[in-house]
Amino acid sequence: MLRLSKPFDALYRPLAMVSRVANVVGTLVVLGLVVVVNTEVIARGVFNKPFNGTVELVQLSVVLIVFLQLPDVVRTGTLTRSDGLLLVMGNTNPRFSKFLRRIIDLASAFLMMLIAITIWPELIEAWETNHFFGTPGIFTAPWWPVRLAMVFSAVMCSLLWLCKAFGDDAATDEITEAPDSSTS
Amino acid sequence: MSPVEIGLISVVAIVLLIYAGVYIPIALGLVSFVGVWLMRDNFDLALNLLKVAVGDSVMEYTFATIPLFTFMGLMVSKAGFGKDVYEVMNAAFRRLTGGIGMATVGANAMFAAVTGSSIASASVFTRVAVPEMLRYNYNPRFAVGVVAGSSVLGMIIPPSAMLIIYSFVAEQSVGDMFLAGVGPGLLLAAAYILGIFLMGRFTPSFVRLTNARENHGVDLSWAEVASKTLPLIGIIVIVLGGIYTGWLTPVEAGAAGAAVALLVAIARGRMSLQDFWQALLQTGHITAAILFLITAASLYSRMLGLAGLPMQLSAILEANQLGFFWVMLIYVVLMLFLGTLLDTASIILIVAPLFLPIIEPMGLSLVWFGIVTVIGAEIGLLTPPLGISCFVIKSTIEDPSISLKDVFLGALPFAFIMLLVLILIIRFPVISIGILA
Repeated sequence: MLRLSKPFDALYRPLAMVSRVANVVGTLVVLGLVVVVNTEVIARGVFNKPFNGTVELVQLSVVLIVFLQLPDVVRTGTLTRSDGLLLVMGNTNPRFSKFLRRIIDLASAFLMMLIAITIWPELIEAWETNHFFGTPGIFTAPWWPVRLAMVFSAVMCSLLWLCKAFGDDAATDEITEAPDSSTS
Repeated sequence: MSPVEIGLISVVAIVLLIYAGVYIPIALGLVSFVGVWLMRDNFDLALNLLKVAVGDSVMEYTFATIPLFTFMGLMVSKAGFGKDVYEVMNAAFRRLTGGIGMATVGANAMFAAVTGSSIASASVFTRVAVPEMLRYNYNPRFAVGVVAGSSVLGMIIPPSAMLIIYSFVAEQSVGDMFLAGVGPGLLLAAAYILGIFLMGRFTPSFVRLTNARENHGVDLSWAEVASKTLPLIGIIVIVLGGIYTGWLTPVEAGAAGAAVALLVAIARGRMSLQDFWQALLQTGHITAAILFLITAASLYSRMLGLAGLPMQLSAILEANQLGFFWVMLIYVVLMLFLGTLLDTASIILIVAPLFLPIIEPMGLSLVWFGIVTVIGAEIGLLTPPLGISCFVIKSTIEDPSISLKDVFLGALPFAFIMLLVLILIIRFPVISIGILA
């Protein structure tokens, strides 16, 4: 592993940086979402002037939040998993546990690569045809930023997982505290 | 191999992979992808399905409920409102044996109405309520058991991440799911309090280590009670009232609740810029994790549909003349079994798509079925080896003499009460869906 891990460790640092930046942008979108929906509620309830296009903006922001922040979720190792068995094995057979973690990360990288490959033509099409979503005449937004966020996210996740599978730096950069996800 | 066989093997493979530690969305996505590929012997079709599942499923307006309610819950937790409600409840129950336990349940029920997470409840109340109970010589097992048991209220009383997840799987309205969760949540809280009362009466040694009179907590003036509870009550009224009257969509209710929670936290001087940013970051992470999971689950239910597994299952049930009772028995036992292996969200995402096509033709309400599903899956939070609430409590607690085993044993009576309440809810659907009539 020693020789193989080198290029992945070199690749990891810039990747981690990009995922952090995307995370901050996604975080600002969360704030924007709170502001937009509240503005609409007040505009409609108090001034009786509903703001058209809130639905589209909300849809767009959810996509951006998910796909901009997913790489950082992968980087910090906080994607939902039940790691009870891995932890127990980490105590009794740490080498096998580590090996299993690398295999899992490799499989994850593979799935994300498939997603990137399958969304890519959609991105090209959205870019070239300039397709829009929403209700024409009221509010429309182009598709391509959505597709771009998806491809970016899938590629980033895939690369980050490859670094975790083969590199040494990425694997140690995980947060090992109690899960912060509310999925349980 | 027939598609049904491949489908069945896929379900088992997903359960095993998740148990082995594969990220849950990856297990769902990868196995479903391979399953479809083998079933149809068509790689491009499988790729196409992946494209549709990922590309289209996230574009959903109601998905915004997840970041908004998550943010609201984080604001409320970071602003220390859990402790406030707890102090009020503690004053209310101060003269009863097991009173601190009842106060913990009551405070959890109220806290649950502003957070969507059992994890948040478990960690807040481990810090606040467990030391208090130990100070008054409560049995440590009972102390942690109460916190574990009442933490599940966070997922049943709306807003709740699990109710939202189910509403996506079953294509039900988030608002209906929320409203239907109110009755069962209150019933469960009341059953816990009654249970604690009975334990104090008949097995006092399980509750407290001494017989000395307990006189915990301090009396609060009405002004203090008001200042500690009114902000939360205000948020609850805005969110649930807004949804119930139809004035706000669930997305808008979440946004309004988040804004009010933020304003109150700032007004109380309990929110630093650092806390605020951390809450935003965490919100994004949680949203990304949950929605990616839902995306992967939509791929899985498409795979099940292609395999024809739900139809096969309902044919088997029909051929054996298995009616309502047996279907529900099989369902609950299956969830209890999976609860020992998997976390709540995975159980809902794996089991619900299998049973929904069976439940719907029986003329049963899918909203009611969702409440049954969430409570059934939540019992797993309290049972070993993977009771996540219990793990959180163990990792939050500062007293090393309390072992994980103590937490599980303490939680056991509460898991049992949950099961009894689940049976009531199955038998009397009016408890959950009565509010919608």
